[in-house]
Amino acid sequence: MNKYRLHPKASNAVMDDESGIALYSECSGRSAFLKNQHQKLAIEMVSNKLLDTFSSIDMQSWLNIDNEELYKLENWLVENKFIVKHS
Amino acid sequence: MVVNTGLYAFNVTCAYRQIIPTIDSIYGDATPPKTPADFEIKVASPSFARRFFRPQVSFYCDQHSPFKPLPLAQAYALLEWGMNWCIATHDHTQLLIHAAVLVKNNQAIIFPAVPGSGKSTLTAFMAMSGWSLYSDEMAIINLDSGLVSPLYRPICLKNDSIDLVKEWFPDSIFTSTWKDTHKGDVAHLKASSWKEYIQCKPTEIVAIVFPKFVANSELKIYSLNQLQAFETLSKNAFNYGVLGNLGFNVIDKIIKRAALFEIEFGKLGEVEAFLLEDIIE
Repeated sequence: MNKYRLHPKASNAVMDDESGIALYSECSGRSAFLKNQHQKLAIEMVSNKLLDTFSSIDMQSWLNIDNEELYKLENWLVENKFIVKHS
Repeated sequence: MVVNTGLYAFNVTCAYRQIIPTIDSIYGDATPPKTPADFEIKVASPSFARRFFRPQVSFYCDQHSPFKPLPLAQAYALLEWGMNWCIATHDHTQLLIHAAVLVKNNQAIIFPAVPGSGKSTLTAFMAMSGWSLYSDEMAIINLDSGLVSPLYRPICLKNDSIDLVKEWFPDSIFTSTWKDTHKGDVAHLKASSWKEYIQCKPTEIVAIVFPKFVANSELKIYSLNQLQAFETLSKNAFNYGVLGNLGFNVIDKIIKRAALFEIEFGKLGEVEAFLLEDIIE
């Protein structure tokens, strides 16, 4: 199971209305908008855990996506320097 | 001649005297700026031959000409589009969003929209009905405070909306109509005076409304969540990519303070009533 943390040059903004989280990567210049699927719980998890580390399973649960989508998303977020693998 | 739009001043050189009365009718009441012009712009023929044979004009900012030449008859419209281009591509000290901005009781509402959404018709209606016009084209937002600043520019109306606005407000000041531009028929409406403009101050954004005109539709109002508004606003910003983190942070600030809606409308009066009842205090 992969473990991740936010890229040091990525900013995050957790939406007050619990609709999701916006990310901006200074390295790639891209933005990502991750829609929250589990309302309050997920937002709390995202806001707390993003400062630390989180796993693929955490991400899958927050975003309510299947394995294939998760795999694509993980790769995209890593490639575009939003998150980095945590060793 | 110098065109003062309040936030930016343009030193305009016109090879064609014909457009000077039009510039004067739109910007002539503005006081000259106290600082040197921000942009040196020119509307002139792209070549010697094009002065005589099917005359054309090009827009120049310094020596750079960002657009293809247009027929001479569209020279004023080209000047206005060129001025938009200058601001959108050069001012990266503020967030610039493709949106109309209207203010009532010191509360600003911004209307980001795609072409054909009825934004300018809505803006004209509201500006001529007692709202302060901050912009028809561009919301200019301070990166620290998140306040939106006014810009002294006319409203660009297209096609059927030109006659509609003339019919609703017969005393309004219009330029001529420039026919068959790439946007269709185009005319510019002077919807405020310099006297009114200088009363306008940077203002808090209380709502972001994404309008969409649907003929004969009753007003439909949809609440947007913050993430949807964040994404749409960032896509409507001219310089979001250039500003990077600064743009990201200011959009985050704005969407968390403002009410967020998408509306489908067929009657302008219904939109105004909704804004006055549900948003403006």
